[in-house]
Amino acid sequence: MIQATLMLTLSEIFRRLSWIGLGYFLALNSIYLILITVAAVNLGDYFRRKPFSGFQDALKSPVTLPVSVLIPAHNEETGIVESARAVLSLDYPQLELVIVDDGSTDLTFERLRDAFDLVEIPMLVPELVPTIGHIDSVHIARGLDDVTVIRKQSIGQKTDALNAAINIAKYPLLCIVDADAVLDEDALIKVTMPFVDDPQRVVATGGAIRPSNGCTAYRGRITEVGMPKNWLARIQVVEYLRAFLLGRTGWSKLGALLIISGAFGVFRRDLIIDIGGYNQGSIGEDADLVARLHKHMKTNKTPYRIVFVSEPVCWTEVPENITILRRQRRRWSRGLLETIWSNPTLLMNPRYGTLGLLALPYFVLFEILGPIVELTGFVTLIVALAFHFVNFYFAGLFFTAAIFYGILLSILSLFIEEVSYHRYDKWRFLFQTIISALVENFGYRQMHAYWRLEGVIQALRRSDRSWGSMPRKGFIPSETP
Amino acid sequence: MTKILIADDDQDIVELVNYKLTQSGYEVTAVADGKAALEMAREVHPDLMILDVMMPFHSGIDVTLEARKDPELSKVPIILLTAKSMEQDTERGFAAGATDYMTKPFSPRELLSRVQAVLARDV
Amino acid sequence: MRFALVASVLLLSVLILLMLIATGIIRLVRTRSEKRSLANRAQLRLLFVKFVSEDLDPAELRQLKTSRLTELDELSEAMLSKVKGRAKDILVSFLESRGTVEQAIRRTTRSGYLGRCRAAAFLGHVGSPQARKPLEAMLRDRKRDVRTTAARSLGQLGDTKSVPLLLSGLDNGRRLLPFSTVLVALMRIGSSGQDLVGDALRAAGERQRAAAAEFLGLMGSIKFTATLSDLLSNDPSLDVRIRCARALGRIGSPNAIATLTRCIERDNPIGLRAVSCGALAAIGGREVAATICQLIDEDDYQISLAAAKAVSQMGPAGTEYLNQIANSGSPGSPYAKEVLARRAARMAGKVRHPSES
Repeated sequence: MIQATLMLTLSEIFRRLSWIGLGYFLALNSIYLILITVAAVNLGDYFRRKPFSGFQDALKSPVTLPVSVLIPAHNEETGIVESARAVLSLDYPQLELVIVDDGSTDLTFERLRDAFDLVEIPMLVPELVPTIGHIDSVHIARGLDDVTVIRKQSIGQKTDALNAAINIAKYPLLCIVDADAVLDEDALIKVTMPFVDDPQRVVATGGAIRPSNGCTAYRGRITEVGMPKNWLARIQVVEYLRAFLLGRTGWSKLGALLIISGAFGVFRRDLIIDIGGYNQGSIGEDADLVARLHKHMKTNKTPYRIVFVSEPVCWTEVPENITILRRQRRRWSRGLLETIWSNPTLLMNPRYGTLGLLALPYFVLFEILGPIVELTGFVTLIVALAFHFVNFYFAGLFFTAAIFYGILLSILSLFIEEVSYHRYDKWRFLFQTIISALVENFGYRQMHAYWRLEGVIQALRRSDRSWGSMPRKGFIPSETP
Repeated sequence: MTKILIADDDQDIVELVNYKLTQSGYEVTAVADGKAALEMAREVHPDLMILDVMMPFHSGIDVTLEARKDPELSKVPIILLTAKSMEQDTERGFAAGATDYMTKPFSPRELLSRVQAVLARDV
Repeated sequence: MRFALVASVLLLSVLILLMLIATGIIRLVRTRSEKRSLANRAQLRLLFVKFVSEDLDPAELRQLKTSRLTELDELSEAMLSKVKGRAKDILVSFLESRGTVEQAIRRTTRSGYLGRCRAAAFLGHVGSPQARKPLEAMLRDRKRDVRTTAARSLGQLGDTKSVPLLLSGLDNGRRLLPFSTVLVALMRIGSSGQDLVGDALRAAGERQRAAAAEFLGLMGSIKFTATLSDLLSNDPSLDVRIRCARALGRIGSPNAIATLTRCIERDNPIGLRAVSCGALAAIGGREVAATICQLIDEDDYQISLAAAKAVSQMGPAGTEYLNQIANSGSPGSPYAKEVLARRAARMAGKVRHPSES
């Protein structure tokens, strides 16, 4: 008798849970559908206007703001010289390159010294934003190339290297680039165009990132776009299209862009100095910087825009093995939670408009709690099926609907990419992306949810400890792509 | 016959220059990127090179620098043809070792005169 | 419930299928049309090149099929921005004879804004004088892209009569023109427009004054030295004052020295002081060098550095001063040392010509 009641209650609980699960899937995917629609409209507009955007004029304009390109490097001897040369040959009226050699133990510095004929100069580096690691020496290139290399003691934090670079940068715009990012020739002008068009309001811009795996590169430039051989990377190609290209375009259009990738973003230097540069020891330092920028602008009641540029001009290698991918995703998830955590006033605050009322609640509900719901749903479904709490047929339908909705979003993203940038121009690539969009939902999605959950747990565990006391070897390339 | 190598990724410009120079009695070889430009230059030993600055693989400036390092090409006059017109771009071009610098939009007739002048100076 | 689920699964699969088919069709159409237009263009190009080089009897063109002629129009349009001189004149007269210019002028008042943009851009490339009026009317267009494209095209036309309208577009209430676009357009029109731009130094709008100051500096318009100096001391906008200081440096008239020297004094904003240092250095003179040198010892590093940099640009006298400061051990000596080292490095590169190495 008791047992029967228990079974009944349990089955009731499971029924309720499955309703919550259904609601969750519906809400998440529908929000994404809205984001993608907003992004598609915006992208279409961008495309039609492109011939008249006047970036050729901006290249010749004497008032196009000069840019300091900042590259933090830790043990990057293999690619650093090529990356540096690629930056110097970007199509841009005036730029300088600042490389921070953050305590490399390999030949990073020697390679740079030989390539650019570096010479040490005496320099007092102003402490505009706080740094921890001691600056050993400052070197500049002989000749016309405007290259500065800072050698500093490493504290194992990318943020410290970036802050040192911010202190030494001399131009009004800062471009943060990962040492292993591959930029297109017109990358910088495309991403600074919003500053040219709307100099009063634009304070930061972010560039779209795509996986470089499978592409052919020559001397630090992508010469032929290709598809990775590895399926994990192929799935990420679709993921980057859906989440980063369209998701961020959508958020940007809604005025609620929270993440500008550390792999490629441009900021106004004066404002970065005002907000004290990067938060030392922060895990999601790029999201954290943007969050504080939003806060700063709102506090000063200055109208501002943070713009995502959808044009694919920056390529970066994505993990092809599960262990590394897991570590990366764990950190993204943890970084995001910590960012929201350390800027609690933003959440649900009407003063921050769409960011406070839409984007951040979305991140909390779907990016942070999402994995919990998703995994619970998955486990519940299996348990419920095993004990016949739910009808097998019903569960199957429910599961199929959820997955099909996800697939539809991915295919929609592929469609939008096809009508807009169509960078994956071979028929083979099209088929491969379509298959990735299908396969993604079986296994990858569930693993991803688990990794993100791990990140959330890590963040909760460590929240009482100081974040600064976490020495690492080397940087993990950008926290967010 | 005087041999001229032209490298530009814009097919319209290549054809136009090619025609103009061929009509004027030069032997023209055309390529579309910086890598091909270097390879072709080493093969045909041109008497003059006309290079676009922004092109795939190697920029015109890179090709100039490479050519100057190559004993067989170091003396070949180079005209850079480019959309970049700012002072520091010109400065960079000449510092790399270019003989002359022309900005786009360009006049085909002017280019021809410059080619003739550069070749005359060289002889 | 079950019905709803079944229906949604069906709907979703239909949608997925539709999207897939649409993607495929778009790709197919795109590949086909790209291939075709490439082939067409390659075929036409030789004819076209001959035509531009005046080696083709225009009568031969008239024999072409209409579709061919339309393609030729497109090719000519694409070529317009790539050539100048005689070759461009030929293209323009060909396009004029085809009636494309009138057509574009008609299109400037069309309802679709992209059509208006395209027309404006085309008229700019062609550069025919009759396009000025319609383009000027477009400066007040509802759409920002149309206004910007029209401004750019007016620059290409190069008629000084457009200068006042371009400048007033900077303060057009809600229908603004971007600063950079106006400045580039003014530079294309060139120094013949400087008197009209000079008038804008007295304009009510801040952005107009800023653009005028910037332009006059870039053009080196010496006759506006007095007006710019006046604005430098009295303009309510710091941005305008800084641009005036930079402009006076570019112009290089010694008459500006007194005003600029006042601007490097302590009670002025740092940005203005730093730019004024550079401007003074550009004008030059031994007394000026002495004045700037005093700033190197100041406690704000931006001023010290700007001053040291300025002095380093003042020839042998400046170098001499800098060396003195570098060796004096004064608060400014690290900055003097830094600037000297930087210059030495830059010069080292210049001396070693690649062909010599």
